[in-house]
Amino acid sequence: MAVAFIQKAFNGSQPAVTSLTATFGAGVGSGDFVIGTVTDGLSTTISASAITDGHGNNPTALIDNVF
Amino acid sequence: MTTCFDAGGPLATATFYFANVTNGATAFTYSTPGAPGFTGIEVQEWSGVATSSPIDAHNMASNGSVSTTQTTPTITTAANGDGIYAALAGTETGFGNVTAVGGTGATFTLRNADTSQNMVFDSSAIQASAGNVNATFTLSSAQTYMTAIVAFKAAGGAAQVPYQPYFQQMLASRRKPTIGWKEGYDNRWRRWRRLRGVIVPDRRVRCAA
Repeated sequence: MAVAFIQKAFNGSQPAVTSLTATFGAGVGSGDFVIGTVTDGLSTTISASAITDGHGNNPTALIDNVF
Repeated sequence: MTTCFDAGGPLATATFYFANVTNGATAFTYSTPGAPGFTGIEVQEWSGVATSSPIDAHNMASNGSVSTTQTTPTITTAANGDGIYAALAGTETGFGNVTAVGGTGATFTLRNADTSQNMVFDSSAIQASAGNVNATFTLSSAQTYMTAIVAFKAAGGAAQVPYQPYFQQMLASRRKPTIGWKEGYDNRWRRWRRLRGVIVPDRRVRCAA
């Protein structure tokens, strides 16, 4: 089976927000793959538990760095 | 995991994935664990990706050079037909817009472009044949940026490996000359007989006898 791009979503903000949500235009298909990036003005790494799909699921943090 | 630091930080960046999504999620939320700063989140959905151990290769780097062209690390994929995801995040203030994307090893398309805060961008591609691949982002403002690149595999294993069509080609090249020579010889032989009216026993009959 060949991989195929389906859809994208994005959200960005000025400071003073405690959470930020990127929302797809349509529901994610069963069995599909979602990949993304989070960036924040922090001096500590971002935990995977800080990211959720709204159904109680946390992602696998693939790369997590502080620059 | 590779760690690196940029003097213009601090800025934390994480690349993540959900494999085999089953619940029809549409919203992906990031909650900042510390003092709120500039934040950005972007996601892409793909179909046809392996549901178990989907990652083929990945890397992340802080590009220290102040430039309008930022290139991800080069990764080497092992499977044909990988999906390639590339991300760019600003590490200092004064970010610019992405004006073009490119790369080597695959043809990239700009997907998410943060035109409000210019914090995070991404592109993607499908790499037909395994090998080296990287992505580039061209920006309107020279700055230092963080770049990441991830290759994820197709479900059902890698696409057809190169030696199979090569092997088939080798078999064909061994058969065709023999068939072509015999047919050509027989046709020329029949034409010679017709033109000269020479009665010669048919080769096939003679051989059969």
